[in-house]
Amino acid sequence: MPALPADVQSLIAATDKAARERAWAGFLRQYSGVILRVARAMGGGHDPTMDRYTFVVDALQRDDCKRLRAYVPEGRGSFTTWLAVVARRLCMDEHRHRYGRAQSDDADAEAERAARRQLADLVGSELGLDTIEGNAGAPDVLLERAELRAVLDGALAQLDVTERLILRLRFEDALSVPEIARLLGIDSPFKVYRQLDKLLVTVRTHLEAAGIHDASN
Amino acid sequence: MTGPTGRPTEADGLVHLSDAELAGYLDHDLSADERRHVETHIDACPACRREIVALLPITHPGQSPDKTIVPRPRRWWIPAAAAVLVATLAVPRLTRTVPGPDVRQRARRVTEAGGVSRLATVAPADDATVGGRIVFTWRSTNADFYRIDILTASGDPVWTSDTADTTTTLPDSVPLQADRAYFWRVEAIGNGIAATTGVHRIQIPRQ
Repeated sequence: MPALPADVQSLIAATDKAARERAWAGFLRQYSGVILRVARAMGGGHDPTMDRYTFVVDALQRDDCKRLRAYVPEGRGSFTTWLAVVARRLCMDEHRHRYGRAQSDDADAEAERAARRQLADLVGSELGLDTIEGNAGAPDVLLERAELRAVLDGALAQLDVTERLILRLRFEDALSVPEIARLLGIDSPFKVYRQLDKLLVTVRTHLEAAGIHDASN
Repeated sequence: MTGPTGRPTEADGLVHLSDAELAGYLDHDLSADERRHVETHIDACPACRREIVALLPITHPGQSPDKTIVPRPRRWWIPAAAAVLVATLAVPRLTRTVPGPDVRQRARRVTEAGGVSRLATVAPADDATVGGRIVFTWRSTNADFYRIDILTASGDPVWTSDTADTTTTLPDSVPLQADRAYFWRVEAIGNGIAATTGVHRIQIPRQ
């Protein structure tokens, strides 16, 4: 388990008000950068960024730094990474606090976005299967697309979790191959490129076994 | 809403990953079982996966697991080029059994339509007759590495190799048949495909 940084240790151990204030100032000097980076990454310019930053800092200090104390018993990962995770989740809370949870229109937009970014559709598109000819609304075309989607879903379901995750990160989340390698702890992006090629071949083989050889079949 | 345990729940009742699990995953500080648990969860939970994707550039900016790879700034043409790469790799193989234009025509059409930068070859010259050890050479670009493919006239891959150099020699273990034509292409790869030579023809002489 990573050690608790000295600044945080001082903050948690401080017993009187003056010591707590000194430790808090030290904490902010050390970690304002990461909190600001998280707040800035949520977008929206200077004012919204500073609103989020203030919200996060207030939340971290509340109840005698209760959130920060939570790092100690479960600590996995470095404190800085853990703090970034907490800060981002607090930023999301701030967004919900300010604008409310996603309702009707937002929910519809999210559902539409999710539908647009289904892995099966994206992989099918990468394989050139999104060009079924004919009237898009015609029943036979809709049926053909539904069948194709079912076959693709079946092919993806046969992959193991890590393989499917590579496809999701590449096609749904648009991560670069070096980023995928970094996240999954794969020591070379070359391996991810090869893995992606192999996965597409696997999916393609599954499609061919189901009698789908190109978009027009 | 995020609770003090750092394990938020959503209106749908789904229990998301804890703060510690996310941090441990980003830092590669989990046991194999814990990593498996996280990956199984984010395979099914776009919300947690989005958090990880959003946090990666903040917590681990610009790191590469392979120290020989130099991170490069994203370029505007990379998404389009990456799409062309997949199309170039996927479509011809998927439609291999369907009669169509030859390899050269297919490759030219795809790359030109996609607007991918051209990567210049140096040797062998197009349509050259080459014997003995074949050395392929191309001009340098700002790529992380290059991938060379040797294909038969029907588009079947014969040999593929990745290299950081701008020249490579066909190994003796890959015998090309006499009196046959083969095709070769090089792709420069950074964060996706950067450029391609298109497909060039070489002729193996009669013995």
